[in-house]
Amino acid sequence: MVDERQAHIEAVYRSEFPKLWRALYGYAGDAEIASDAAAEAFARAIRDQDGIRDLAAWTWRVAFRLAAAELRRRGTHLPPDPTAYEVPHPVPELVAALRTLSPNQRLAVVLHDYADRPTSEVAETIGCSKATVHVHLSQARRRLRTLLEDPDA
Amino acid sequence: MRDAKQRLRPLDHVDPPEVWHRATSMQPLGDVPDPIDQPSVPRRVAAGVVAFAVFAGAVALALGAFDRAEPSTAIGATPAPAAVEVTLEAGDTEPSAHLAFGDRTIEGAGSSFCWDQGNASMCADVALPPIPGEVLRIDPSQPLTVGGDAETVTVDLLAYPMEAIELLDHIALREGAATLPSEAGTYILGFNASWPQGERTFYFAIEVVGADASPTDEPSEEPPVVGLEPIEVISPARGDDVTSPVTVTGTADVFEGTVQIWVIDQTNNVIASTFTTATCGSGCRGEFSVEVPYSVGSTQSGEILVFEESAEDGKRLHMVRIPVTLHPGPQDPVAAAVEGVWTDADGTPLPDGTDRSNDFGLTLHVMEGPDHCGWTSVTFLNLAWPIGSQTEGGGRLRQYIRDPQGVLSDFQVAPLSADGPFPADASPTGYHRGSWELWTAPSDVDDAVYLVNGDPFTVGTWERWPRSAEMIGCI
Repeated sequence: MVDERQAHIEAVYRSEFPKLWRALYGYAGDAEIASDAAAEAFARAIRDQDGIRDLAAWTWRVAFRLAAAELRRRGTHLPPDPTAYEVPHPVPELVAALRTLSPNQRLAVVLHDYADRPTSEVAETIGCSKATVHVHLSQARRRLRTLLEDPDA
Repeated sequence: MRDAKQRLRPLDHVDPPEVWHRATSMQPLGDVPDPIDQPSVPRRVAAGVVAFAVFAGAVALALGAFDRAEPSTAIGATPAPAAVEVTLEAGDTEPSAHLAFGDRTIEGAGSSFCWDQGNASMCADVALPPIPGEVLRIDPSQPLTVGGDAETVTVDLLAYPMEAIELLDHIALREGAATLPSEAGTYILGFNASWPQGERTFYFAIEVVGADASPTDEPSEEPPVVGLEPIEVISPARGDDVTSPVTVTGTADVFEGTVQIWVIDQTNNVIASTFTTATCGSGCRGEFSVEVPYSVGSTQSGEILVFEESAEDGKRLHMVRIPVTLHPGPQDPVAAAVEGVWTDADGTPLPDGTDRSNDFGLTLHVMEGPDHCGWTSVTFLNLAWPIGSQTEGGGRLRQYIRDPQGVLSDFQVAPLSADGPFPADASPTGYHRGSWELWTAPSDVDDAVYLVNGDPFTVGTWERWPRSAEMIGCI
């Protein structure tokens, strides 16, 4: 039974993890934070699995809250050398643009526009209303549009 | 919105590491973390205090209002107040909402949305924030009814103006009906509606007019004194235009007389914070006055928050919120002169890391700090090292900071200096912008650069910009 449940979590991991990790990376701008938050979320899922109704949604929520807590813990310090990551262009440009957003704007746009998570889930992750999520999304999209398509704007 | 998704697609090209083995072998600690912006006690307290402060004013005037009230037309019968009717409809191509009250009809300001229509779907991105254009004035506790064909509707009460994005409360609907706020004030109502085709939020602005707050009714006498709040702010007044540094004055009767002051920008970020001590405290009322420097990139709405921080648990008490318009102070002339595109000795523009065709290579980038962290008074100078190199060609990035107001005091940044002897071994790099040149000195080449205007050894002006111990950025 335990194996069965762990197999279920592993199946969710296989289907969700790549997108989850990339979304976390976009949000945190840091591969280490993304990996730590994802691993910790799945570890907690294994530990608390009996009480979890929607495992995928639960894991997304927990992973992003963990990443947010880590970012907050680090304050506004960024990783020492943003050019150190081995990521293809134009990912550095995108991550740099995402960094100019407020944390909640960034979280909303990454979760909803990139990972297709519903706004209700974004609202639950942040702890705000869906109306607020829509405002975050709009402000984030406007800024990204300016930064990524019209550098002179 | 489809464009928004496309912009984020490059993330798909990042290869995630494998962490399953880690997840199965680690011993996690802690419960499910709280939501990121857990509706915090301070925020709730703040909203409550605002409501109370306004409410207290209304109560203070209420007796007079009853005296002046029009007599009821039917003795013994109180006509039911008219309801504010909001209708949310799917429509043929996109959802819409309107509000009807009396003989007025107001279109809702709709958020971005996606809409499925059989095999086709469309998305619309709305240039936002969707500030409702018209403010509907209503009485306290006006009934609300919600109709239309939406499958689900939830209603949020948000702070006005919209930019503050502050959720004040949820309004519970029972069988499509609810009661709007009783406390005087201006609010945003957010209606989150969903249909099988998609979901959308609509916003309306309402102003709940206090029992005696009608602008046509001049109070016949001074309102009775209802007692001073623990913190009373004298200036700035609500709605004032302020310029950095803003002087905040008032009186307070709080523990040890210590009051905290925050400046909040339009995106609800704290862009300046300080504290001061009233002339008397802990049981007596004292006066306070403090200058709070802040920096914003453009004129915008904001708030000044004045409160006491609990010595016991850090909770924010007796919060007073003053909505204001924040104006940027006059720009520092040195920053204005050096921020922008620089050129080499031949006048060729130096790559600043923003050119896609150049693989975003950077030789020199001198830029204003980001607005949303409140760092517009800071100038960042990113330089590829050694001089003449480019980050994409093996150059290493160095960062130098000009922080005349000390807003980066939390970071390890040496102070800016612009006096004392100019280093005798300094020489120009050839990089320049207008009459300003970038110099380095072998004696402190790893610690600073020099921004020089004119001959630094005689009458020219110069500044020594310290190198940051680590890359500083705003997230």
